[in-house]
Amino acid sequence: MNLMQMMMSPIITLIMMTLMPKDKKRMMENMSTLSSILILMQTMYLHMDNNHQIKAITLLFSSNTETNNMTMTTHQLCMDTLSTSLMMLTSMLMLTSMLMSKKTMYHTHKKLFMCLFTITMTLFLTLTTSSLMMFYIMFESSMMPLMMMMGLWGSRKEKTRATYYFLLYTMMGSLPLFITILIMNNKLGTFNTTTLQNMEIHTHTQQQLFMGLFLAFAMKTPLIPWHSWLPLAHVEAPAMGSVLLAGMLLKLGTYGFIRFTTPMLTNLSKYTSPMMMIMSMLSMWLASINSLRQNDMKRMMAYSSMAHMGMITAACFSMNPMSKKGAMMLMLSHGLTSSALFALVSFLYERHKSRLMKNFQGMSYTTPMLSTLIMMTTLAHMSTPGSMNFMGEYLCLLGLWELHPSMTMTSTMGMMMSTAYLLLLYIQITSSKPTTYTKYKMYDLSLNETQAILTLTMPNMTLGLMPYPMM
Amino acid sequence: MENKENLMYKIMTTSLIMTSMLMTTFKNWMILYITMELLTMTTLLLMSLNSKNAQSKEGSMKYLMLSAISSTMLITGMLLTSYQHNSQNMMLKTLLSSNNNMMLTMILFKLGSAPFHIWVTDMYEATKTMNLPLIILIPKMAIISTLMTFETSNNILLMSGILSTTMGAMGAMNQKKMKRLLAYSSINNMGIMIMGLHMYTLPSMQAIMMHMMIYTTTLTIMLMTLHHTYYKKQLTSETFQNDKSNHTHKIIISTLLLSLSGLPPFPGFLSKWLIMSSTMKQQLMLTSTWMLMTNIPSTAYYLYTMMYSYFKTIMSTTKTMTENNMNNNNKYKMAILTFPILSTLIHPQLMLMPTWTVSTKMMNVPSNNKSPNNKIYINTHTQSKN
Repeated sequence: MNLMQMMMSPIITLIMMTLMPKDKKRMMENMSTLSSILILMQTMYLHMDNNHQIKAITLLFSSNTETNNMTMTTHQLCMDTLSTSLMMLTSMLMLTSMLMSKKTMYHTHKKLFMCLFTITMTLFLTLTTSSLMMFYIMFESSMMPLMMMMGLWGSRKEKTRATYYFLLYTMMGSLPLFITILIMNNKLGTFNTTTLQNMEIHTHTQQQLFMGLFLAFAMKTPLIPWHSWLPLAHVEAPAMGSVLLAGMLLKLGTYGFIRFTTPMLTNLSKYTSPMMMIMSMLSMWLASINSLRQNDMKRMMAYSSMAHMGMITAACFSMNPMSKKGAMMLMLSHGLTSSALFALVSFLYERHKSRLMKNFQGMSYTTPMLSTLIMMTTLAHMSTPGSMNFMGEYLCLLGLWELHPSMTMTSTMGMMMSTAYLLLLYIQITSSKPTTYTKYKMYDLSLNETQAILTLTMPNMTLGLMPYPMM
Repeated sequence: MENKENLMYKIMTTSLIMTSMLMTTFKNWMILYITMELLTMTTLLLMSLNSKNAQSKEGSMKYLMLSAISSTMLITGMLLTSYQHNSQNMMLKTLLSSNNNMMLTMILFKLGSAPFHIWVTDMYEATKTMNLPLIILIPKMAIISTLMTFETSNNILLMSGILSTTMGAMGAMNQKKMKRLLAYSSINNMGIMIMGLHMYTLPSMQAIMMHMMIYTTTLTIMLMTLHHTYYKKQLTSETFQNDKSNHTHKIIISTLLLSLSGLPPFPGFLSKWLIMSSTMKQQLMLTSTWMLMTNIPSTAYYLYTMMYSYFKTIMSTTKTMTENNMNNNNKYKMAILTFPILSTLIHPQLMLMPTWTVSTKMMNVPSNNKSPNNKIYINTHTQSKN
């Protein structure tokens, strides 16, 4: 299996989609689900193959010594375990969103599927390029289809404001990145990251590069002073949009931290790690406190994902192999669980047309399947042992302990709060007396919806018990 | 009556094109002056053709007065330099390279860049949308190509470039009318092009050409689509909303706005990238960062126009997205124009190669049969400067 062959499959499906007539909705749905399953299988094969042949994970941690660990398949596309695992995550999310689309979307299916496949293509390219410029281009262009999704399929009038915020924030973050990339190319003469890692970069250019990279990725992650676009975007986006946003697009920020910032600018990121620690701890604490007092479930999930991303950035900048491995694990597992929670919230929204927590009570009496799935995902999200989140968080905390014990203390306190709000959500929804709505009008998940959730939760559980393939 | 006007229109358009061709081919300063005058006359006539509202008359009058003043300044500058150099038959190259600021500023006026930009918005509002691409784009292309053939890296160009990028970005921030907004965006793009002219290196020439091609095609398509949509007060909020059924217009205009804003997957990004990299090569970090920073407010208003009109009409629960049958002829026109724009997205080499060869010929540099991506940027000018 070649990486190039892998890239062909979304392109082929895109072309098929464009040629498809508009009214054949059923055919399009089936075809898109089939092709997403195919893509998922391809990525899984790629991941396993890659894992067997080389332990490319060493590349991330000892970047200055080893150069030939990357498998160069074509000129500028290359991959290691981090990129293949995130590719697997994207293809899983695609599959769930295809399965979800049958119930949650009402119009213009053709465009929706085209948007989804363009997102997969751009994300695959961002995860596999070795040139910084190509990374920037693809990083930005993954915004466009998501913006279209938010704008066209969003359900309320505030969606225009939300998309406006979303795009402008990311623009503001990424323009300095563009400038710094150009400056770097002017001074060093390459875009290629592997050659850049082995270069002796002047300290002044290092600082410039760090600022550019940091701003772009911090806006994307988002860390706390630049976070205000995220809750808005999550609330206004359609179900699939928020699933993709929480699952994959936020990870691009931390992916950038792991891939570009820490290996290229090792000394500088060691130097700035206290600042980064403070910012990430702040974002963890404040976001989880915020999410404790939300009525809107989607907003609550948005704040919670912010808190978890803060944990991941803290792990990235503690600069030891343990925490980096943990950050990778947490990225994957958070992508699986938070997107599953968003999907569940969207199913609730489909039933009652509201996302307020007080409208749902005692669902375990009437809808057992939904409530058990909610229980599974919330438990995984608060990282109980047995889930993959636990593995990731455990490794992160170990690495943070190596940096300084106080870091572990503060981050565990932050994570404790996440259990608090998740339990609050679960208890509010499932237990106590069922309301009249839940008694008479609520109906359980259909087969498609359960499949959509299970594609996310099952890998999480299995990998939690047997984390070898991701290590 | 109708026939006469139609004939008039045809004559005017042909004369406009012919005069701009003349301007590019001859290198004599007298011819430059004459062609400039002819251009102003023809644009004036085209502006005032079929004008029934007071606004267009006002705009055309403003244009007449200001251009008359500028052309008198231009000819006085030309005469002064010819008096200094003691020769009647002078080439343009010596005129422009002998630090004659008066002439350059007046040429900048004709381009409509920043300190002399006030007439541009009025002119945009005054003319009909059908005539606008003719009036705006063809003379600009001619004037820029004349500037490109001569060595004109003057500091005035840099100043006006910076000023026009800022004015174009800030001016349209709270603009309600679509055409005025497009005028400000044209000022912004003019500034970027002038910045590239200031560099005067081989990659910057290529970048200017790329930018010109992409920008002119996008603006012509925009104006064509606006011509076909019905909107009474010419407000930005009206452009999409009154035309609920016509969905292809919406898609075209929104993609073009995104391309103008210079977001990565679209070709507008490519030209901006080329100009940025060429400015970086000349060690002008601050100016290039400034240009990119001005890009933020400009994207803000492009997105404003796009979203607040395009997304507002569509909700997830309604089923309004039905396609109306557009006139087939117009459809073909749109397709022919949008295709090159989208093809640069997939394969930019198609646009990069011809611009590279033209720019090498313009700068009298051996092209070496190398693609522009290979790094052989020969800049004779800066070496001589140092």
